[in-house]
Amino acid sequence: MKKFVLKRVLISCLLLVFVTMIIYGVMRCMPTSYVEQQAMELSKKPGAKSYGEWRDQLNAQYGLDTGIVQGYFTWAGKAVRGQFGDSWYWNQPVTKKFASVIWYSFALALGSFILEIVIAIPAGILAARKQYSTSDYVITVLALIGISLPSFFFATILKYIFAIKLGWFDLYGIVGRMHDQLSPVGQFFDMAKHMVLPTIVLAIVSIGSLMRYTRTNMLEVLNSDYIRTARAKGLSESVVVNKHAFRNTLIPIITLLGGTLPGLFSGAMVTETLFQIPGIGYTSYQCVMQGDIPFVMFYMTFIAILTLLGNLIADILYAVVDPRVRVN
Amino acid sequence: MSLKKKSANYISAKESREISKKNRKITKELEKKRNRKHIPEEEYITKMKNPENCVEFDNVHTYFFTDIGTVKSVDGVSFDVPQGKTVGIVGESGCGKSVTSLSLMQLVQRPAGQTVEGEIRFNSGDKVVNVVNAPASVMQKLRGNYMSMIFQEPMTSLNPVFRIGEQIDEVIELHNPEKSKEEVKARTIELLEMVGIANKEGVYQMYPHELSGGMRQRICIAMALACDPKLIIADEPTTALDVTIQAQILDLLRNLKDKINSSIMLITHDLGVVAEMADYVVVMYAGRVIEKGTAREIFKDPRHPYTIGLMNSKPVVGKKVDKLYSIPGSVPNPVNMPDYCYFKDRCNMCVDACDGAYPCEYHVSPTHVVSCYRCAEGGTANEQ
Repeated sequence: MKKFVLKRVLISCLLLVFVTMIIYGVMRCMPTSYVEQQAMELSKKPGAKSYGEWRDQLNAQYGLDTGIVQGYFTWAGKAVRGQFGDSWYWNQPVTKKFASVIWYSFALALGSFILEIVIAIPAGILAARKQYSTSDYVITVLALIGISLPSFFFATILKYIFAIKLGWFDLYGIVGRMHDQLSPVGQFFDMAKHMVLPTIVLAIVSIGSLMRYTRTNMLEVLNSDYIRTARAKGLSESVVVNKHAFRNTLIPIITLLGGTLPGLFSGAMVTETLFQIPGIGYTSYQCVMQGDIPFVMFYMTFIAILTLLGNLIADILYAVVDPRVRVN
Repeated sequence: MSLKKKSANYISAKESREISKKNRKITKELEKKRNRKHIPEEEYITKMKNPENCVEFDNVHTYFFTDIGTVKSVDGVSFDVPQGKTVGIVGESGCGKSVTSLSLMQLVQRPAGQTVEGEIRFNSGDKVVNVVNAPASVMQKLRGNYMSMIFQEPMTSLNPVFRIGEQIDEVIELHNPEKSKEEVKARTIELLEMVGIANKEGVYQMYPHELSGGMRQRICIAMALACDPKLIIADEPTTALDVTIQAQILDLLRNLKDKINSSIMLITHDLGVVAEMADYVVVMYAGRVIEKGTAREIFKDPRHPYTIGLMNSKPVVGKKVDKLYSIPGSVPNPVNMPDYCYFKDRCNMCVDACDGAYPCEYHVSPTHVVSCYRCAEGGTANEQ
């Protein structure tokens, strides 16, 4: 097992090099260039140097006067030492800006992730146990509505009902009007309260697929021979489903959930924008639009590491739940 | 052409919808009756007709309500399994052998599959349970403890994520809650040894995928024998195995049967296995019993044309034939069964009476019963 993990980590490192190389190449080839925009603005000032001169000077300043390959290795050389540089757009160290916004997104994603699992898996199991019953149809239809309608639709509906009609929550923002006057505990609950609606929106749109997935797998498992064996032993239906069937249903679900690890940190651009939450989704979107190479590179590398890590964790968990894939 | 098509398996979407609507109504009512919170004991506690029997099947009907119509998988099956004896059930694929045994365990895939009529009386020693009406809680006490089943697919019948030991321990623990962990494990090891597994401590720790088919079938047998059941249902226990293992498994079953004095219901389409193992033989065709008797009677003096055909179609060592005999034609469509003898269309021994209704049972000897008009003379009719 140790050998397997070590091998996978080494392969992941190699993959990471190529992934970052591609991202860097794409970033450099993008039509929006931060330097060109800056040069344009600076050259418009009275008595300024010409656009061409500014561009060359800024290119040299920002390290863009080299070729893509050389530029990549300069970036990578610093990145392995943990130096990701300053964000051009935000004018502060990349890691600092990242740390200031990521937790909003993480809290949002974690909340909706937990909500999703808690609702989708039991609902999927229930639908499978009572296949073609009324409850199965109700759950399936609700899941399909969740999958097919976009998040801004639900956001608007929820805002209309809970913020405007009932007035339970604020329309948008991460803190209330009286935030500064509250005690630290009160501040925490104030923020948590503002997270409720976006969390629900994110959960609604993601529940459907996980629920359908659970239902399909559960159905397959429930019709298998070893479940009949378990029943033939005289086990009660709840033990059959919750012990014998559930462990087998978990196998494919875990691969799916392992893949959602990067999703916890990647942010939800549309929902964050709709609720005006200063999360990573919205921030990274702005950076991409501005051609802020250091920030985007850091963000993308971070997501790439998480994706590789997620796959590795999924593989390890796979071996934990399914003895057939255990590596000797 | 279109008419011909209609009479076959083809039905329109409208018809199918109507059928499934009707099915839902029927199954819903049956399920409602089954899922009642409290089912009074009088409904499922009965008496055996003959206390010497372990199981009595009495006019059992198990239907599957499918979208193309009701499939009468088991359609009025009656036979007895005496205590301490082996009853072989033979017949071709799809004749209802397995469904009969699953009905006895109440393991038919519900809600589509339902035992709608008849009684299956099971003698558990102190009480006689009519399995058809028994609630799930009573069945759970019977299954694995008084009656157990060996399934035909050893490769898929064990749960892949649990160790062999855990899976056998589970059934012992369930029915003997007073046993301590060590006692349970000791019993499991004992069982593994009994079914002829040499490396018992090692196998206890293994997962099913680490064992071969024959080993897995032994594990299934060990699991079935764990609580010394009164009845072992072996549903084609050797079909998936090669011949050398087959003989070993059959020997094993026979020895174990003598050791714990239980009855065996042996379901198979291998006549050789039946000849070797069974005391009584039941021949099924298209969901009905067409002939039953002692093994000797069935093999020496088969009366029903289907049984005769079955005997002829088995290869005999030392007998030279150009082509192995096969019964012509195929089984009628299970959805629309004819109202005359089901075997008539394939039968080459028809008499005039065969045009009439389905033949009733005729006794050729006290133990030998045949459902064929050819046995009407000399045999005594039995009302069905």
